[in-house]
Amino acid sequence: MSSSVEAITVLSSDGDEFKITVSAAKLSKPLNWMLEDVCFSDDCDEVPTIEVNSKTLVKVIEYCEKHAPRANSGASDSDAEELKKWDIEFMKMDVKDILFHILMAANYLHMEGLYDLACQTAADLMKGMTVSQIRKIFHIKNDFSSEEQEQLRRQHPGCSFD
Amino acid sequence: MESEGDKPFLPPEIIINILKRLPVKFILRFRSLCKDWKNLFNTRHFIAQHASFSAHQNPLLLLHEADFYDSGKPPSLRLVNRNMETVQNLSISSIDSFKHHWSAIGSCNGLVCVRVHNLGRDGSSKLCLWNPAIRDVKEIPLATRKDKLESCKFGFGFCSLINDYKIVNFYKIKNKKNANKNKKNVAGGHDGVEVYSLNTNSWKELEIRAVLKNTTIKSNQVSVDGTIFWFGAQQDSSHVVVSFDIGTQVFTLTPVSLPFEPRGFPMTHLSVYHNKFAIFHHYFNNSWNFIDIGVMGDVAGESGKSFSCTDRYDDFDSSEYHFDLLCIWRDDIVFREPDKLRLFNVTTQEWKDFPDSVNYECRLGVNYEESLVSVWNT
Repeated sequence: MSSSVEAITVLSSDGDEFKITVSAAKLSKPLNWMLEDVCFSDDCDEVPTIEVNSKTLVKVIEYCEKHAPRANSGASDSDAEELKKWDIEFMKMDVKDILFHILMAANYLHMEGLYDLACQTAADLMKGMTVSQIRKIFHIKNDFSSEEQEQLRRQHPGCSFD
Repeated sequence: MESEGDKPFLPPEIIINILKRLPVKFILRFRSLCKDWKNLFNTRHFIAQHASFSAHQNPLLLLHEADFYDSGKPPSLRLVNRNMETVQNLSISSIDSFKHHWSAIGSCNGLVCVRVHNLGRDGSSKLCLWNPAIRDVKEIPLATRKDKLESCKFGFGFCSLINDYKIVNFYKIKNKKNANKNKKNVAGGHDGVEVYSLNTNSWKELEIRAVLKNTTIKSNQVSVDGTIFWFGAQQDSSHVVVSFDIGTQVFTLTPVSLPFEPRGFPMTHLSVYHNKFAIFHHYFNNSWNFIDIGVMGDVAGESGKSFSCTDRYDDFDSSEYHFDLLCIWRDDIVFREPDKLRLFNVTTQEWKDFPDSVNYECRLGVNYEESLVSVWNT
């Protein structure tokens, strides 16, 4: 791999091209391996594909680019504080719709920081949801028989199935 | 917004990573989602993951209080958050096991170990393990000699290596014949040690060396990372830290030299500071007050442990000279004054008063993280 390369091009699962800087790509182990394996010189036109859809990949790359300077150099407490605030805003945006995709992508790309952030966001969202709302987003069916529901209600008064 | 159907199916490892972050009340609520989740919440693996996640969050402060002026009133337990607000009064008196007088011994992974004194004729007492978050209580009768016990000093802790909770009891047997004759001897040491294991649900007598038998336990207990600690005095008045390895069931005595202080002996209190065992020596009289904090460090050597004085906090700006140290709660030392609780932040060196001053005497303050850990250990 040539050290002069500053950014690489990757393909999303939808076939769109994305640029990601080398320092940002280092946040992900699999991407890092790709950097080492794939030839990035001009005469090599192989573009690696990342199994993440375009909409999600935009967000993942945005996260990487923001976090890369701190991950690579270490940072002061005030930077960490600033980054925390940025994370909260980042997760507030249109992420709700694609949160599960981000979870899958962060897991697949071994990005610990983003994975933790997305898991915590999902947990916090669940706190405000009813049982049936959660069933819907997790694709879960209520598989308790009416007798079992009755029994659970007896054991734990106040427990809800809706 | 896209249709809900667009959301992918998450693999179980991701779902578990999300669910372990939920406070206990939500886990209990989501039991009724489906059978898979209900069963998951009962697995040892999930309970351990949930506990180890919440152990790294901000612990609540568990306060054990008794009414100064009304001894007939049962003591109480409450949980306090970082803003010093009471988030929950634990309704311990509604539990049958706690009808009698009781005192809290310690807390670990969301389990609280409580001693209940039966004030009836036999004067027997029992222990209870209690998980307030899931309202689980288990009574643990003391081993056979309960009517003969004169005094007990307890310790309670968890060892992740063997995944077991243990209670240690340094007991002393009543000896009516010699009680008056040997009053001096009665004052020190104990007659034996028994250990309760939650996994086997039984007590076992431990063989101990004479030097440990003659050591008098003089402090509260504290448990860190698979070890239970006490502070004790030996027959020659030298001081030791008694530590009990929960996994190997081995006691270690580590000599402690008190920091030289010509003005008198300190009150000693044990606590946990940044996940390490810490000793506080509190020196005071009516004109001055200071505290030495010693944190245990690992050194190469026979015992492998040493204690060094790491910090000294001088000249407390306290309105009352009569105050005690309860525990460390993250970066705050929790102090008890006759009618209020105060926090002293060791980083900023600032004082904060608890907003509600009460006529309650606080007997114990410990860090508490709620958990799903079952007292039945099935």
